Amino acid sequence: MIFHSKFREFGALRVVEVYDYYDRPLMLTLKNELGHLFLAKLADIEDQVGIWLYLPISEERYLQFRSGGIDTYTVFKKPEIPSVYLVKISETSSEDFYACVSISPEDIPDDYLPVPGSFLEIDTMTVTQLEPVSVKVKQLNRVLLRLKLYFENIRRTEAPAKTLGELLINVQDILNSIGQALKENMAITGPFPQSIVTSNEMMVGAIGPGSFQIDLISSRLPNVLGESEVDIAIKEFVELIQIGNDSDRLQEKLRTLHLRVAGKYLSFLEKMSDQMIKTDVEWSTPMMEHSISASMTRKTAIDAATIIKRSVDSEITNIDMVGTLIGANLRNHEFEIENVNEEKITGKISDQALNRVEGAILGNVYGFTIRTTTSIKPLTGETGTRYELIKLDIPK
Amino acid sequence: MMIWPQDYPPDCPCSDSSDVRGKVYRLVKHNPPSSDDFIPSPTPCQTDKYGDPECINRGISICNTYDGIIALRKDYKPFEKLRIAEGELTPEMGKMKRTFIHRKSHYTWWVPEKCDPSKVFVVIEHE
Repeated sequence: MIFHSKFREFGALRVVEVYDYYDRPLMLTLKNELGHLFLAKLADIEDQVGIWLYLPISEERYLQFRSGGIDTYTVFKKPEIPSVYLVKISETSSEDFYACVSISPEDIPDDYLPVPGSFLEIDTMTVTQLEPVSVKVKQLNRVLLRLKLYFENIRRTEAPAKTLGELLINVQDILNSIGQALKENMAITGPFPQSIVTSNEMMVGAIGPGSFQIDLISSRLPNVLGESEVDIAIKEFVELIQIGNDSDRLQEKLRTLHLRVAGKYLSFLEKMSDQMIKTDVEWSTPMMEHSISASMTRKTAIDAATIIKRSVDSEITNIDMVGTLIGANLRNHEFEIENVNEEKITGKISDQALNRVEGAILGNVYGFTIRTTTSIKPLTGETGTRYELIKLDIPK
Repeated sequence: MMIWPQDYPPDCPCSDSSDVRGKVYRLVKHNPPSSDDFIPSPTPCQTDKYGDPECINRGISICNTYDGIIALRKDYKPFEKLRIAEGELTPEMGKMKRTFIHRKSHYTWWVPEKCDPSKVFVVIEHE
């Protein structure tokens, strides 16, 4: 038996959840008519009498324990109040016997508990459910963008602070850059104009369960027609997620939205693929009948990022210069030279130049032929330059 | 066709159970295991999460991994003197279903009439 109908100490108990079982429940949560929770664990059986540990536990602590935040040993040995009940109940229903005594946690024999480090690992909602998006926008009279973030190895409604903060910055930057592109204000770098920031600003409204949900609501109320400037930016952002890793559609969309959007979206994708398994987004406005949603897995984010990062070699030139050979790594085929303007140039040694570099002396002045390749990432506008040492000679 | 004990409730074993097969482990008192080591417990299972509690109660607990049964024995003092028995199950020996999934290796096994599990289990060690 697990609990007795005549328990005075705990009230009328009902089972909330059974965690451990072997032919019979071994560890479970119980709740009485006042809503008080108890964690019960079978500690031993002696002469047909079961010996149980009954631990009063708060809702918060119960959720932490259930989701693997606290191990079984610690939850009993370091409880919230310094008292655990040792309950003896007859194992057979024919014997009407129970006894209950309060003991100090220090007095719990260690062999009544598993070794430290034994955790439950159950996905657990540790905050209350949020209202549906289409309902909430009408309650708030604001635009709402709900992000549902699935972090790897996290079972409670918790998120790593740095990652979450950076992700929220990414999302706001994307909205600002889309807002800027739509107003044809084409600055690629530098701060966003204040008017763009103001009209696209989102506030963190609520946090909800389901891995980790966060509601972003527009800081400004809609106009008399029920429209907000940020509506279109959010719509475009959600469409980007919907497009996923469809290369043609992604490239076309980002070309129309401008280079800065591509760069900001790339940052979001890279953050996503770093720590998250999946992201769902859902948005609505007070004027919309239904919300619109989209979802992206880590793999899709990685693929989309690869598409954006593709670079194209746009210009290749060979440059002759005189300089000092200040570094050469023959194993990695890498070189470093300093030209007459004291600028350092690093890059790869071509196969044709390798023999000459092997015979060269560091610190000496030589004539170099350097192949310069400029590449551009069409979607972000980023440029890069690569150098390759083609030829090395004694200067004339 | 398997014949189930007469005290089974309707629709028991659970419809989402599958034929038993493979190597499984059970804690037993006797060496060699006796039929007493495979009797369902009278203690109610106290939950309907995995199906009709009356049906779950008719099954017996097994683990499908050796590490799983070792961990279970370590966590509960009443089991420390029990022995670990290993058995190779084949489909005519009943149905099984993963239950109480917080313990990843735990299954409930429903044993048909005229099947004596003790004949296929061997005590392998006592740590």
